[in-house]
Amino acid sequence: MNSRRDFLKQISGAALAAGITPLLSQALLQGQAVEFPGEDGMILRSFRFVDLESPVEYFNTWLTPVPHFFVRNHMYEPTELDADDWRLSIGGEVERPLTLRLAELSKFEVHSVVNTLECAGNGRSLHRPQVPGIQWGKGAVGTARFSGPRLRDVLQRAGIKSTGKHVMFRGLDEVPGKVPPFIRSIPVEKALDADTLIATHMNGSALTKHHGFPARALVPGWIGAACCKWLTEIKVLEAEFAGNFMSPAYRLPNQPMNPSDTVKPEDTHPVTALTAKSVIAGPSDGASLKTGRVVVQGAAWAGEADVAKVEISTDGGSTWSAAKLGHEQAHYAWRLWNYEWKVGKRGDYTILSRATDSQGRTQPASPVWNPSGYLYNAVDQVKIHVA
Amino acid sequence: MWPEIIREFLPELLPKLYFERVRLPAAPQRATKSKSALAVATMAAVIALLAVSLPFRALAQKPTSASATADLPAGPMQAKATTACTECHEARIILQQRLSKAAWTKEVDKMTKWGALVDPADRDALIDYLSANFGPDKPAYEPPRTTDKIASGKSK
Repeated sequence: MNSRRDFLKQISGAALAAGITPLLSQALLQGQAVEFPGEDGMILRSFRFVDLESPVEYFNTWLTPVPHFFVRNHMYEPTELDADDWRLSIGGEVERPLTLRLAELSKFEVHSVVNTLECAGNGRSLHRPQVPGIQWGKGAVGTARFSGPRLRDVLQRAGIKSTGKHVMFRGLDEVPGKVPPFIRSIPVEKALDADTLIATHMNGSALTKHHGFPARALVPGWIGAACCKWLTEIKVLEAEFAGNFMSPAYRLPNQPMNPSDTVKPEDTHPVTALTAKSVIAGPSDGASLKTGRVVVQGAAWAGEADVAKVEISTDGGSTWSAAKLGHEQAHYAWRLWNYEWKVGKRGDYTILSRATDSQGRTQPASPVWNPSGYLYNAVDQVKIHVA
Repeated sequence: MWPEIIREFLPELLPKLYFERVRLPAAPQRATKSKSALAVATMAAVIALLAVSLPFRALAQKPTSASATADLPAGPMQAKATTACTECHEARIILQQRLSKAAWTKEVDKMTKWGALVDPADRDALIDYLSANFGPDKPAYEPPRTTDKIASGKSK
């Protein structure tokens, strides 16, 4: 297939033939930012299908603006999404199967949850040896206020049978080739949690297409993959859904393993809640600063737990000092933090950040390797130069 | 010369220019059939307009954007890898991987199972091509950034 670049080469050839300056043809060939309406300054991991990462310097607001919120798609976004034609079916192990229109869904009581949503593979590129998958840096994470009916209110209208143990979500994403559809399930206990939503809004506005319009599952504190976008079917099951995206995908080994080991499927478990983690948003890695006052700042989160403390080291991990946690907080949301550092001496420094949560979990000094690179949460670091 | 270029490249260029003109709210995922008669009529109008204005537009307006999708590197398997892999996803998904030959073998076999058209006779050459270009020793891929600004430089 001919690429746009080939086309531009042809154009510039034509331009030369017509006596037009080579300078213009150079301008035509120059690689610059990729146009992407509604998404500004995002790191383009993939255009087709769409995978966008937030640069860490965007982590300076408690709520991430939607145009700066990471996008993770396993498949193609639905070609056609019409709010009037959209239906949500609730079936399986229920007394009264339902089909809801958007207008009917919106009649349920609305509940809001500020939630930090993180892709299970965030930080995958930092594992060694590297593992296959989208090579996320540190920015497949963001925090938003999600609103919509509680999943349990909808499930209770359908009436879960005593045989119902898991709740499956299916979206409208379009599957290429013979790729298995992106279908996953969560245990019924989490589905019935008062904060698990069928979210229709994000930061006060209707979901955009990239974020699952008109409705997505919002499973607070859990990996992004639990939060199925373009939701169209909810099915109550007797057992965990059997499909690629429950197994072998999105599973972690029960025991720590070496890259040379192989792990049997029965020795793995599904990835569910996020772990304790902090990321340094500033100063940027590689920054050159002047002596004096330097503000180190970032965000820290812990899934279903709360952030207890964030500590900073400016001497490569020998000594640690507590960062100040931001006043904005919610149960499933990250805390912004900052640390004022007075640098008197010129030189090269490594700044480290380490979060500890209310369950006593602390970020490890080195990453916990696993075959798919999930839940990377090693102590974060940036290297800077003070001149 | 222009009519040939238009005929050859219009199918590739059209979605982009059409997209800019009508400012669709989301990026195109892939070429899809339009179901609405209105959209077909609009496309026809755009084609007619482009046929007249394309040479002038392309030269007079400095594009400010990089190519939306990337290409696989040159090599004996470039064409076959492009056919096998980019039917479902763009090349950038491959460009960012840094995997051993064993890991590439698993990926190629998984993707073949998932519908990638790989002639069994080409399997080993494809694995070699991917391993040679995207092994663990290669420097990290530098992804581009997105911009919300359209080609004219005006913000949305």
